[in-house]
Amino acid sequence: MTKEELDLLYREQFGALYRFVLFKVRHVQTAEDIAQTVFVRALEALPKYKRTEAPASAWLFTIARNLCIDHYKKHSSITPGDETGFFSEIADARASATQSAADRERKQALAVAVSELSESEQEFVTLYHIEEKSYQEVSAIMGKSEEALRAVNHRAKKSLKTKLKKYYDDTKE
Amino acid sequence: MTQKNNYNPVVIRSTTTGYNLEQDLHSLKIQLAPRSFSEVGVTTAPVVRYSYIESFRMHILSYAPLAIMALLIVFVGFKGLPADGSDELAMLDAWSTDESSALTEMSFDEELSASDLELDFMDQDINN
Repeated sequence: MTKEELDLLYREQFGALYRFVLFKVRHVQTAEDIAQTVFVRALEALPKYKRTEAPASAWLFTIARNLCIDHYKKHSSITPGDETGFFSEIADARASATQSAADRERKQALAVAVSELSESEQEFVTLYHIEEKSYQEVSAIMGKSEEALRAVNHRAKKSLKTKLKKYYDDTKE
Repeated sequence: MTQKNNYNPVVIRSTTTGYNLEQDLHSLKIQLAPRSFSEVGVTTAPVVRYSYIESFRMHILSYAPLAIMALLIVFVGFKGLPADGSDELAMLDAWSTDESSALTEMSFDEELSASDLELDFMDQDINN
């Protein structure tokens, strides 16, 4: 992979990387910093990068995951979940003029619920449902088989619907 | 490069509320967009901000081999000089020692006659 290819890939994946990290660290500035550091780390590791069957984006998400782990090792006093309330603030800031208050409230609640899922469920929901990546790509990023991912998907949706019963209280699926 | 999933989400429509979980999840993509992107309103390349440590690693350390080379050259250069120069200095020192000893060995009469000769020479020079 050349530097230009990496640059293109990074630009394409920046938003996804940011959201992937955001649900883990629950802090906007930290998420932006980590998402940007991914590029620096990828650039440093570029000479050692070898093409595999897995998409190159999987490599970037692996770097992002490792940076999040490093972040929590360095800031061991911060435990995931401390900043849950921030989702409400950023959802408010990004809300469009046409979005109703009820809509905003529901999506804020949904963002908080996603951030409270288990690590694998959260990663799956972020990559598959929010970023619309294929099962194959999610499988490469998370290192799980497609069968395992289907089970994760089922559990994640069940958990979200239980938590957000008043919004998604469906009687048939 | 990005492969979109072809998963056609089963419409999970609540009989009471009518909200769709998958659609709402997907809408979080816009709701949780990085600040710079949503403010500008277009997809632009993010400005990569480097920390001081990263800048040091990227910029300063990349010149480290050159700096080491320069230091080696300077060190070898300085180390080479005294080896040759020390002989010359030693010779100069020995010569000056001989001269000074020669001077000190002159008797008072010799010194006096030498100064008389010098004065005579100066007088001649003035007369001419």
